[in-house]
Amino acid sequence: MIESLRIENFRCFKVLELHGLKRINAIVGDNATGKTVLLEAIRIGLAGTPGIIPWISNSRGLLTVLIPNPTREQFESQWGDLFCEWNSSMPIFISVQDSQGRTAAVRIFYDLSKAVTPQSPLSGEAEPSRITPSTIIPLAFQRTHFSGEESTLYATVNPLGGQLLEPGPELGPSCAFFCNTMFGFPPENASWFSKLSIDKRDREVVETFRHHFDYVENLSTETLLPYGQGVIYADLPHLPKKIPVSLVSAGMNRLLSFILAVVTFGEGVVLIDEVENGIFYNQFFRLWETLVNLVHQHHTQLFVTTHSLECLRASVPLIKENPGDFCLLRTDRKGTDKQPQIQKFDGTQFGAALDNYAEIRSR
Amino acid sequence: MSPAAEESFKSFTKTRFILCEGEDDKGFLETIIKECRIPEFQVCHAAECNSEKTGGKDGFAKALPGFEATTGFSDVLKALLIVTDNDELVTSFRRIQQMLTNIKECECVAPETVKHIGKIAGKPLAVLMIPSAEDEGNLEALCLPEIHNKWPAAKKCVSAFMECTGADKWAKKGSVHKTRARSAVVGFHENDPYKGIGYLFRSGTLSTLNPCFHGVAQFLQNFDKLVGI
Repeated sequence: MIESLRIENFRCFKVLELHGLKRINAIVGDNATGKTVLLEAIRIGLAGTPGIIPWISNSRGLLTVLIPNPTREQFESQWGDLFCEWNSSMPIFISVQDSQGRTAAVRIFYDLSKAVTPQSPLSGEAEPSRITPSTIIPLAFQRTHFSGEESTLYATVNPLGGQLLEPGPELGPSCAFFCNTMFGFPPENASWFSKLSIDKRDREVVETFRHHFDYVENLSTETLLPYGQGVIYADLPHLPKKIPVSLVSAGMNRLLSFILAVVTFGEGVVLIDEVENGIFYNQFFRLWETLVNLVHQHHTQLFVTTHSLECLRASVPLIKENPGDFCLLRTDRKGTDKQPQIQKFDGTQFGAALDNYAEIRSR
Repeated sequence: MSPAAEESFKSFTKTRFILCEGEDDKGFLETIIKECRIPEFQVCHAAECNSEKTGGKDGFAKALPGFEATTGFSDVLKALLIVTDNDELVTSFRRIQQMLTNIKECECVAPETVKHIGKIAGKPLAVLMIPSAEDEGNLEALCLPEIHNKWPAAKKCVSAFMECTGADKWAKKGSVHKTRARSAVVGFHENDPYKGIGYLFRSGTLSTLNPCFHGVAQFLQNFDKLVGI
């Protein structure tokens, strides 16, 4: 479990340090105060791979296309917004420390010593002479694993000018990240569900899901056309055929994704941006109850953002039962420079304020 | 969620905050702040600050632990004042002291001194005992001179009433004061004889300019200096 976190020069955070993180960390705050950035930092800190960056950009709706033969400017524009105020003269640094005192860290910077100038344009270009090779300064991901092992991966170009994101193992525990608009990606859900099914652990998912939607008799993974690549179907007694869960309800599909992620990423971390999205209000208590039960059973750690006080208030009975499992992280922009800051409150303060019907989000 | 909960305390909106025991205290405090031109305080009573609507000192115990995480605590609020009945000499203050000690990052307030200064999550905190730190009673006890001033004829009738009902012999002085005050004002409102003291202040029927309130007014006037903000 992540207990502390340090972020330097990443997106809106010049420097941020958090200690005493808990099993369930609720993040609240106004728009543009760094809630999603905090989740992204955790995701990058646990992965430490160049490939995670386009995935994160995509989740923001910014589709990254790694064009061949980029100019230096084009290459660096792909990474520029990762650096606080686009200041790439300073490295990005993200480190996470777990409850056993182990540290995983990644330092991201342009490595001048690895500058590369493609020797010739990509083959097959109609007019190769129009492409001027440009010297590229690769982006280094200097990594420290929880094991203490060190390695470096690069986002760079190959001798032909093709962009290359060097793959490598992630640094820390496994991690799932749900952005605010992500209603569960059916093939990914199906893959998680299949894996659990093979391990004979799928009943837990089905029963947990039925706790919310008891009119669903069963769940199964099917691969028939038109979807082909594997989709979770629901068996509803009033329908003559099974139906993809995502066609029954987007919110239902999102909830199923959360359940699958917490079970699949046991001992790991699940990051959920705007947990309330797509979930009907009277499901909020059961949503928390399900998440709390599952994270305990599977030793998963949760970081969830929300704008909904109604959703937060639904968690009060569970916070009161186990205040030591929860903390509240409130993001805000304060001071003359309006730098984002995060205030942390323990479960007792968090639960008591919610129980007072008080406002706990910023402003 | 009940409509009442929606109307309750949400966040800290002023630099000075008073947490008092009940609606009557709130009516009195808001009136004295206005009439005596005391710098602004946000005044809330205990039942407004917890979902169970628990009033009095029990309500303080429910409300106070949630204050630090409430919006405005860190950036708006500068100091907090608890106004409470001194309904049982020594033990009243000790109850407040105990509940403050139970709250994380709340320094214990000085016992039975005039200032009663402490801290909650780094914010200065004071406790004002009503009618005073030395006198047992409550808001009604403090208000009796003004009530008698307003309805002088009722004074001797109330004494007779208290005597013949035996209420004047109650051990709980706070209850004696309450009964005396409520008996004296009962003729005021035909539609609702239960109208509280707070209403009488809010409606301007009772004035906070009576010298019996000078101690409280002075305390509130000097609050900033007293708590060092």
